Amino acid sequence: MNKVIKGALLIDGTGRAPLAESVVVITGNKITAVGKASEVALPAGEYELIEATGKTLLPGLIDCHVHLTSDPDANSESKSREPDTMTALRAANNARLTLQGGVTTVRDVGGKGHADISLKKAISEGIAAGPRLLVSGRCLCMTGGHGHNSGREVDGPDDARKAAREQIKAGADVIKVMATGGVLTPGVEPGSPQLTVEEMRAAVEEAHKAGRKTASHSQGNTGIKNAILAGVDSVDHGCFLDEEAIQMMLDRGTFLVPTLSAPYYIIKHGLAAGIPEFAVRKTEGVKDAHFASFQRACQAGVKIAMGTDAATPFNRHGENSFELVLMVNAGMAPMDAIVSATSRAAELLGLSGQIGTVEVGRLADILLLNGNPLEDMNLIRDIHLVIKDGKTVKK
Amino acid sequence: MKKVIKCGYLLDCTGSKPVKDGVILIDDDRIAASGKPGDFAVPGEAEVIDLSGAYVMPGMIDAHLHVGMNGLPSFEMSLVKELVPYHALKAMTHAQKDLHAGFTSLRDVGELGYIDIAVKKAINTGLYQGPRMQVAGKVLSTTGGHGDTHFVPEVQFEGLGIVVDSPDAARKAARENLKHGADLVKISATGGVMSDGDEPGAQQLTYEEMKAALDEAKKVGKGSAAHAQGTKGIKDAIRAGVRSIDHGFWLDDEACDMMLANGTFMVPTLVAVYGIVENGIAVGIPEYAVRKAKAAQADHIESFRLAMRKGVKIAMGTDAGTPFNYHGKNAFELELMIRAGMSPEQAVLATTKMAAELMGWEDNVGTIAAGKFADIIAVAGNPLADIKVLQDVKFVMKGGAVIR
Repeated sequence: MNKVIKGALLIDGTGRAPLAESVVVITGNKITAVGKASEVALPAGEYELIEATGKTLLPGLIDCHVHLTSDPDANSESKSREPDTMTALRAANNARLTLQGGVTTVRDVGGKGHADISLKKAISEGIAAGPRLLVSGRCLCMTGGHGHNSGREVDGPDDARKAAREQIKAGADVIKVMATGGVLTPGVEPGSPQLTVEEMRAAVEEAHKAGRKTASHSQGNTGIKNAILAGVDSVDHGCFLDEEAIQMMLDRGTFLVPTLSAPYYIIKHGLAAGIPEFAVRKTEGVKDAHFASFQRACQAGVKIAMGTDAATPFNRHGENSFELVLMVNAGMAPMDAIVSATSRAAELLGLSGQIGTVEVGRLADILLLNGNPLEDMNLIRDIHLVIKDGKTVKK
Repeated sequence: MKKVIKCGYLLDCTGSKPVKDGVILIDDDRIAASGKPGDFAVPGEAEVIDLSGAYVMPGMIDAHLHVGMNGLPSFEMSLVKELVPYHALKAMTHAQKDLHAGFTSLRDVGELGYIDIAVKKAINTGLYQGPRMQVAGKVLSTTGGHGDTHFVPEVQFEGLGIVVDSPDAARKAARENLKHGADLVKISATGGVMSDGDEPGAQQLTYEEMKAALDEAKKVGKGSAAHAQGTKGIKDAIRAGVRSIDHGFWLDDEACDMMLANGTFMVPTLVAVYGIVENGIAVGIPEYAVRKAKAAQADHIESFRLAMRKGVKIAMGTDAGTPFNYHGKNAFELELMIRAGMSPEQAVLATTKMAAELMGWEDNVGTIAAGKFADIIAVAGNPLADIKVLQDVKFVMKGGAVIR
């Protein structure tokens, strides 16, 4: 049945000024009409009317950096020995929570076993409820590098090439490379570079040949630059950006996926909540630089796509949209934050024209809020309903 | 949290007649009391659930099924084309279909990749709503046997089975399953219908192989089940100490006497054969399966009748999801059992009290009685008058929580 959403303040995701008293018509799984109530012809015949006066309508949000196969436990390693069957069942539950939180598409950047690929198939067949899912399979890391517990260790460009081909063969949509150490792996430092430019370049080449995009875990400055030179589509985290790195990103159109939520929740909950000492210590050492990097990138006009790094400790699936609050608190303009989680995120994913805006011909992924996030970004969490692929998501 | 159910009729499945206007008092997840109005006091603060237009009985139990499959004509290719975690996600939806159809407890007798153990754990930890499950892990089978797959010789892939060809291997396989969390050990005593290249009548595991596996289950107080069609295989399985003969195409007098002496159950699964025979090869069921099912069906029903005449304990099981044998349609088996001559009283007991006893769960499920889990269903008419009402369950409660 057609759906008509009538009377909402429309923020269409393009960055255009909001449109008051809008009408949006959904036919099947597509948006078929958008405009002022006085100008849009309503469908002949039956339709479901969703009264939205006083509410705000946005595109369904897009999170460019999640790990559905992880739970937001204080200790990220606590479930690493579980069978992949159990992981898949947890991931399906995490997917359900994510969708209910208003996120209709996610880019999963590193899974355990084949649980992520299995989940994607299950969601697309309606066996499990969840967002549209782009998956990476296993991340590519150096032997002993960040992510080595679940990742595919690679050493040398030939091995990296093969590893990328393996993930694509298994069904990956995105190739994830680890350019530096990280906070949550014991024994490695976030600052240290890990995969070489040549190793990452080989993986990126294979991905691009197969029409896939790439993501990179990039915290330390040298590793960030290596990743950019290797041609990655996004620098994820980007904790230690300097002017040179920013210029390199501007020159190449490389995206930044900030994931401010990750350090935020680790600092907020800390040792008292059971987060391992090394994770808290490393985060404390990185967080100021991380936020400052974000601000610099923002001011310089680097393309920013929203990502949370759910589920690092206490960074819960379903609470993803809080990332926009953090971005705005760090100085990003509210409309820019919304664009980073809609049309710009779609651009990073290579899905412009399909998702990320409320425009005719796009897939009907819609977020209807009770208030106006441009006035107070905390209202991004106050959800009236979520529509994915033209269907209202059940609570 | 206290609840009280007002029943039109209460059928407690202890063997008693239905009680008009029966009342069930529930405290948290257990039944606190049940009986006629006035038998016990009902606390004022109890939430009232009005089922006064319905027959209320215990949640049903399916003592032989596979949550990993759901009715496809042919299953072997999906074992190798689809990832194991994907199978687990599908299996969860199948288990939930069984629960929604009023089957609050299941005995799962064989899965790929221990997906049953994951599904059970996810339900028991509250991550998902689902039925109570007793699971077998992988089926012990001979090389080329019913639980082995039958690809070209270059491809060795065990699928639902662990291949064993000696008593030591059988012992190890049983231990392996138990280590991963199995509640029972499942053995393939004979060939079967769905397996390519064997005959249901032929014995497969030897007595010594079966005994070694079943001893391991006994050592830890766990149950067992035998896929057993041919008479020799049936008898060796009984002698080896198995708890239930499942399918049992060719029982004879001696086999029945042995079952009576040992307390062995029969789980007939008439609907498994029915689904294959009725649907045939046109819809893609392999020719060998249709041929073998047709050849066995009449004998199978006679075998079931023999077991009933001799007083062998019978528990209901469907073998869902063999071809066209769908999760959620389990109660159709009861209709087939009655067509074959079982009384409605016996059929209702087979899917409640008897199945609970088979599983060793009689203290917790299978009847409505004080102390048991509040696993309760309601139907619109009297199942003893019309067994078909059980195919349209109107109300399902598991552990005191209303499912629907």
